[in-house]
Amino acid sequence: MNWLEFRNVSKQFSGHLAVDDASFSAQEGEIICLVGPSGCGKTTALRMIAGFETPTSGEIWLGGHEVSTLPAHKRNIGITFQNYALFPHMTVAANVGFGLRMRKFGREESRAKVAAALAMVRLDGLDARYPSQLSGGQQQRVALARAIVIEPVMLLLDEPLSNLDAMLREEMRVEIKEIQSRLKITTVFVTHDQEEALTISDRIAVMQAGQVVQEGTPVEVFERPQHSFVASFIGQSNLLRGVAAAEVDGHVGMRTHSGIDLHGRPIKPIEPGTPALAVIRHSRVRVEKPDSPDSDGSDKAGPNVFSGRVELINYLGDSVQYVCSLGDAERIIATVAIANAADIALAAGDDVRISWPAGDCLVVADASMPDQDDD
Amino acid sequence: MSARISLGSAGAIAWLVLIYLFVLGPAAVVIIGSFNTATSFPSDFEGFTFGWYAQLGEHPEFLDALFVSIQIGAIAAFVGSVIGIPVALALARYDFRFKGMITAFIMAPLILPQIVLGMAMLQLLTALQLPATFLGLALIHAVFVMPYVVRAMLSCLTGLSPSVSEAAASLGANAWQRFLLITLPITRAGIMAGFIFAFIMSFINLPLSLFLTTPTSTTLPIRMFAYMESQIDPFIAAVGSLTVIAVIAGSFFIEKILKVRLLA
Repeated sequence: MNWLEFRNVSKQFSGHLAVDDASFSAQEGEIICLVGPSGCGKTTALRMIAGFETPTSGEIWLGGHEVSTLPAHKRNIGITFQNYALFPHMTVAANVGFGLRMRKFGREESRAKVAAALAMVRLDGLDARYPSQLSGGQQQRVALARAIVIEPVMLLLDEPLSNLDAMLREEMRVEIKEIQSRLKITTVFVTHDQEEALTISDRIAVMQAGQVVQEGTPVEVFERPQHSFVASFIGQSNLLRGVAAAEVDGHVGMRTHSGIDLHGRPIKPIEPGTPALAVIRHSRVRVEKPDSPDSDGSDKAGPNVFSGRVELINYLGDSVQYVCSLGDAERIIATVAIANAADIALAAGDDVRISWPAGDCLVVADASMPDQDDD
Repeated sequence: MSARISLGSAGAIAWLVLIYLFVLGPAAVVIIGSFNTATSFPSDFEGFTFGWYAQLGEHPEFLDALFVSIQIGAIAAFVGSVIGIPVALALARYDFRFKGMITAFIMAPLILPQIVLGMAMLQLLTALQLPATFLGLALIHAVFVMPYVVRAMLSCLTGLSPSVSEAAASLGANAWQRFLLITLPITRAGIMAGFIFAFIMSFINLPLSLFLTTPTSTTLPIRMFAYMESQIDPFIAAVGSLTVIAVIAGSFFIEKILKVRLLA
């Protein structure tokens, strides 16, 4: 049974449809990510689950009950906010104990629960501090402890990592995941960071312009995007726009606007002559010296093999990114993992052979592609 | 602070000093005059005396007026707060139709000529066939000071994220508990500042009181005004100095202790 059901929910603010007939669901104990660019409606969706906003239409079901219009204070949902929203006039202990106080727990029982929650987020000993005396990461932990101490039916996390610096973000992400799976608490995690979504979630709902354009497991969403927006938003990809051509031995052909012919794997059947988008992940592009022998024996003159030139090299530590020009107008980025220093064999200005397997080149119908992150 | 003062900032400081002189100069003249042994005010400084302050004991009507002013100020500030605090909460938290218009309407007493406000209130009381009473005067003062409460409260609420109250809701607090346990304690400084500011604005007000004053509700500014119509001597400067000092002390308390910006 689905613990959370978000059924055909819309939310209209004065003259603006923030959430547009969106549906997604989560099983008990799952962590689902709502991911999309800012303004896509993911936070509004979260706020409706929390009860801060009421859907204009549609239904929200939680643990077998419809809660669409239930006031927030009766939902028993734990939530953390992007700005943490701690009570500035209360100590850490009082912040965490607030929900227990509302539930009329006795002093001793409450104290024990607060101590356990603070231990779980590794903040023992800071009970007497005030929020203003804590770092951002510590405040986030207090917010998390405050949300889980009430043993909520659901945990909502609104961009919990976005205000933390890179090191802390990684650490906190792992910790959230650990706590979530230990408590087996169904969680909705809102983020604009697709990488965060891929690593932390059991399910992902990709949102764009108020709609859920695809929902599935991280692998499904990453490997089999059903929509051009998903293909371009999830993963670091090269995007080539053009027109679909006829099918050739199981692959769909495509000619880019700059006149390059390539082969790809269609997600759905695509009519020749319709606008199409080719999506090739940076990590699936191979860049070699033109005269290098083929490592896997594939046809050098086959499809998806092109000559180009390295324009720029970005050294990323674990990997190196080659920004290459292809033909007159296209730019292809290839990310190559570095196993040892010898892997960085190319230099800017080198002529190279650029290739990618047709199976790793998704061709999707280019439906009204908006610019990514247009706000 | 920079150790070196550039020509530009020296100019700025001079300008600031000039403004302070312009604003506070008259008050300084009054305060200096209140210690003058001369029998008229203003006049050349002839000698130093506390005598004019001592005379306060011989003018019980000033003490009565002070007491009336304190009572009216307290009632006005209280009523203004009871109305103004929810108004500020609504303005800070919600977006609704005609919000701009409603805000302007609520703030109107700030810019409306007080003489007009006083006259309007007098006519209203007459139309309602209510006598001009102590309470009537307190209430018109409440209308006048309410926007100051709203403003002090708003300056406090803009720093308070709505998600703090939402967090309390998610933890099980109903609207009333959220107000009492979260909003009220967090905005306590703003509420106190608003109250004191409202009290001061009522305490020093003359034009509103002019229309509605009765023998039992003569405020201090009215009493001072009446006194000055017949004579001006350093005694009135002494009374004036005391009010100025009281007002400055109140403002200092709000700005420095409560840390609420009054006029920002």
